[in-house]
Amino acid sequence: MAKIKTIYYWLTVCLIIFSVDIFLFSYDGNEILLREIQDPTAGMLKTEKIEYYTQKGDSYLKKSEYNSAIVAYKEALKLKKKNPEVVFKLGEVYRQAEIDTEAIEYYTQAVKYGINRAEVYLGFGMTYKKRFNYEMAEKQFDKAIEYDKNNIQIMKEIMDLYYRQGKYDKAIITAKKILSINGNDGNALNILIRSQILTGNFTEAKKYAGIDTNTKLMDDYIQVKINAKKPEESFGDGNGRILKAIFALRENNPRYAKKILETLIESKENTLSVKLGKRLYSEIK
Amino acid sequence: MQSEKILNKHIETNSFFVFGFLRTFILITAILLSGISTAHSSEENIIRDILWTEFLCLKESRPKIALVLGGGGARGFSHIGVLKVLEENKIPVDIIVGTSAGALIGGLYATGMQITELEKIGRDIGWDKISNVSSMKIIRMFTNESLLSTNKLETYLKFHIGEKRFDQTKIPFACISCDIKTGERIVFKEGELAFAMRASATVPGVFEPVEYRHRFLIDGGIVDNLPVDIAKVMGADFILAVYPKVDSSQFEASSVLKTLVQAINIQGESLTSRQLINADFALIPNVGDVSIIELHRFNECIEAGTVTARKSVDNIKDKILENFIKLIAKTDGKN
Repeated sequence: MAKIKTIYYWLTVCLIIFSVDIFLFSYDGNEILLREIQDPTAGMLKTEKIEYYTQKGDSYLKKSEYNSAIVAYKEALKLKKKNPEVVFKLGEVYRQAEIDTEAIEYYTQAVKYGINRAEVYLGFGMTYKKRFNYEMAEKQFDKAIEYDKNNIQIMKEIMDLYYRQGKYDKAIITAKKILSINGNDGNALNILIRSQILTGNFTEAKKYAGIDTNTKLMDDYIQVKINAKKPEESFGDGNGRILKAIFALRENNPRYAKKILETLIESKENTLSVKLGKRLYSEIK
Repeated sequence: MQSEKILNKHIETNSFFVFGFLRTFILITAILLSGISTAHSSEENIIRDILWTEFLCLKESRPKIALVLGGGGARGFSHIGVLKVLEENKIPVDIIVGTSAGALIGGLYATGMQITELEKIGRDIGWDKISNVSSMKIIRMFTNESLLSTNKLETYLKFHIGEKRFDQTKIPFACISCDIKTGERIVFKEGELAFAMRASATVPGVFEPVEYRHRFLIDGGIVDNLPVDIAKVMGADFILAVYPKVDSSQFEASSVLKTLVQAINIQGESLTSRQLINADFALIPNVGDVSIIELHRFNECIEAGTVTARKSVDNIKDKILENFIKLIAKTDGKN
């Protein structure tokens, strides 16, 4: 019954939003129809046509309408093949549309045509990273940072890459650099603390605990490890319950551990904590 | 003409309205799901890291993780990519068992060779370095009983690992060969490393069998391309198998050698599927279109192994944590 109510509720929400959608579309729908039937670039000079299609592509890209953006940019390219900016933008569209091979092809062309900006190498790097080719991604991010030394987005990508490759020392250094620019950067704090936990450096990790609420789980873990906090007062009521249960078992309190695990398993979510919770629960006597 | 165009456009527009509704519904659902999954995936990653730290802190009582590396000729370079990712993610390897190419890569790694050195070997290696191959030799191979020798392979291995013995490896290691007379599986767990690795990789019909005591040994892949059971015998608590599987559908009967290789592949697959079931986790790098003799495609194979392992590394850790969560909970892993 609850499920049916939920489905009904969401269908209603969609209908309302959809109605607004129709209203906005149809407002100038007929005008757009008529305009598109005629050649929209009729009477324009070649450079004006290229700009028209490029701007069209930009507006579609902004709205994440990737197919339309690709069509528009390719129209611009038909008029001028060696157009570095448009080639770069095609790289961006394909990357955002998750068509990696095409993205790499267009970024490569953009660099070949002389675009040497941080953005190109950033896009390049992000594409390689998504393909799990961290080595190539690192090379591209290193080039990107050369063009824009204080770009936090690039630094974050580099930091993340170091973390994924187990280069925790380098990840920590980069995270600290980001924090020196923005002391509350959640991403950087997250990676910094996780890297220090994985390298067993709880004393250092403790210095950064408590700055960001998103790191509460890690903060609690650090405090428990250095005996500054009791496990039963830590880890909250979410997925952290698996940690609460583990520490309860270590203190020879299986009854309390079972109680916590029961509430965790009840949630029925398909998370790591619930899976581990189920397994642990079945093994506690 | 113009009115026809307008009519068509109206039809298009109406279809768009229907799809527009669907689009909105899907968008809302996607936003909700992505929001939930992002929140959970971030906490999941943190919990995974914390529990992995606890797992590593188990030290002597930590369960033993075995890596079983299957054969596949040049496809075996993918094992290097897998090893790299395991190191990146602090997944310890306590036992290595290998067949054929898996024995070569696994044996070298077990001696303590670094990933960068293994990659260098991949770049450096060629058929001329590991066998006495030549055009004349190949012609003679098909006209009489003369096969290529793998003496050079053993010399090449000794150049890198010297006269090391099994009991001198950093990681306990075993490899598989086959007695061509009896069809017995021969497990090497002692003696000279280079010799055993060579025997494990002696492809029948191409290389002459290696004489060992009263036996004549050939590639272990003939009887067991993925010796998961040996890892269990050696004390593994968790077995990660890496099988550089061939894509048999790509076969073209364009030469005697290719046909022989295909026959070996088919047999290998049949034997391997039984062993794969017994592994706790299996990785199958995407190297299906690489033939066993294409040593020049080492980069592609290493990358394939790397990508496959990186995609699966969280799942590997989750599986290990799931299997041993009770041990983690019972043991206070103080650093």
